[in-house]
Amino acid sequence: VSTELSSEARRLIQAARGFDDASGADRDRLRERIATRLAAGDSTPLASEKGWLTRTFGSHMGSKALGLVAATGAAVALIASWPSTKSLAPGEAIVIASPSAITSAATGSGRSPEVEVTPAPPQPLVREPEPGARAPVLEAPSAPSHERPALVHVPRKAARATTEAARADIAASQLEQELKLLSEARDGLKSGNTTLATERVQEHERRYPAGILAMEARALGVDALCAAGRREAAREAAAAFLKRWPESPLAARVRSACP
Amino acid sequence: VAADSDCASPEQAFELHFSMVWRSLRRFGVPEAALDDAAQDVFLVVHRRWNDFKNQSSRRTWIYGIALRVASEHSRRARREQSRLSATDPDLVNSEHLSPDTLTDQSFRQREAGRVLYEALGQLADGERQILVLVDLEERSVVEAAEALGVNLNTAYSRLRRARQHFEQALKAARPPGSEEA
Repeated sequence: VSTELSSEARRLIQAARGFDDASGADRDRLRERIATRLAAGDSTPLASEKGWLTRTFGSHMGSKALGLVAATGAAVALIASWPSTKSLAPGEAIVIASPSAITSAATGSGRSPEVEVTPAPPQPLVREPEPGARAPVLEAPSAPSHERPALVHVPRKAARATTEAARADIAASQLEQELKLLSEARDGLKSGNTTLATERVQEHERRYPAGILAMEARALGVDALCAAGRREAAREAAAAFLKRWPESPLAARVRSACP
Repeated sequence: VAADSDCASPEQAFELHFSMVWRSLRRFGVPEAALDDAAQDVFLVVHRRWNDFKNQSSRRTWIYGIALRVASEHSRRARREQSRLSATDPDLVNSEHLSPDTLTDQSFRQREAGRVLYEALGQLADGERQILVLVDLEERSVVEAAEALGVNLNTAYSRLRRARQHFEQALKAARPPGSEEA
């Protein structure tokens, strides 16, 4: 009995290729749905998770919170819930998670940040890079290919685990840095130091053009420019934002930030 | 695979593997109406269990494994709701959608091939369907398919052999009379 498919069957499979591919709209819709669930902190076990997950992936169910993405979701939720400058009351307190708390959640070394997280509107999971933008700074450094391999034997599994851990650390570190910049920008805006706010947003743009919080940073940039009286620049920034993220939950806020 | 080793976060996993998951869920038998829910479930599990990945396989294989189980769950649910689940998407066999008048020759041929393909897949038992999809449609190795399915290699090979036999038979039955080419 032949173990190969007939040429006729192969031709059929080839002819159907692309027939059931996902569309861009499918991808966008699912990205938004998943982000909404994560941002809302929904940890209801799925039917698909019951039973087999324990057998398949070990017994520490739910022990590491939601990992980096959940922390990201929380951070995004916090930032997305920031009011625009015009709705800020004098002395109004804005709670923001400390970067260390976020990092702690991201690396699984502690519980979720002890701040109140407002359920956020749908958020993209990953920002698309701007044209010409450099790659996100998430890659672990690698040795030049011409270097001779080290003579020390490193077990493959251990090396992989180390790489995974290093990547998680790098990603968590980036998130921490992004949060810090945006937190300082927001503080500047609150205190009327629009120069500081603008500088921090610009620094974020320069260091993390496709960062995890790029969308929130750009929205904050519109606020900062408007507060600084640079209304024309604010409108241009708002137009660029709306062009890049037309479906963003922050779009309405950005649109009305600097009338 | 370089792209797979670069999959360093759940967000990257989504961007990298969404198409594969979407397509595979349909091919594993998830009805069109449940596809959004199933795809969402896959990536929610990916997010929640990201740190439970044991490096015993590639991330892609791990995600295939999740997709297989989610697909089984959704297919079971669909069977409970319907007395008999047709794995074929009704839209795909709707003659209005297949009218050559409204489609280019190429897209018509593609849709017709897709219709026949899904009809034949729908005749296979779940296990056979899954390994055939992984190996012959997704072009994964039998080793990778065995890992995703959680079966040993011998079982995978014998299941694949049966799956191919049954697929060939189902294909003959699904083809319109006189049709030679898809």
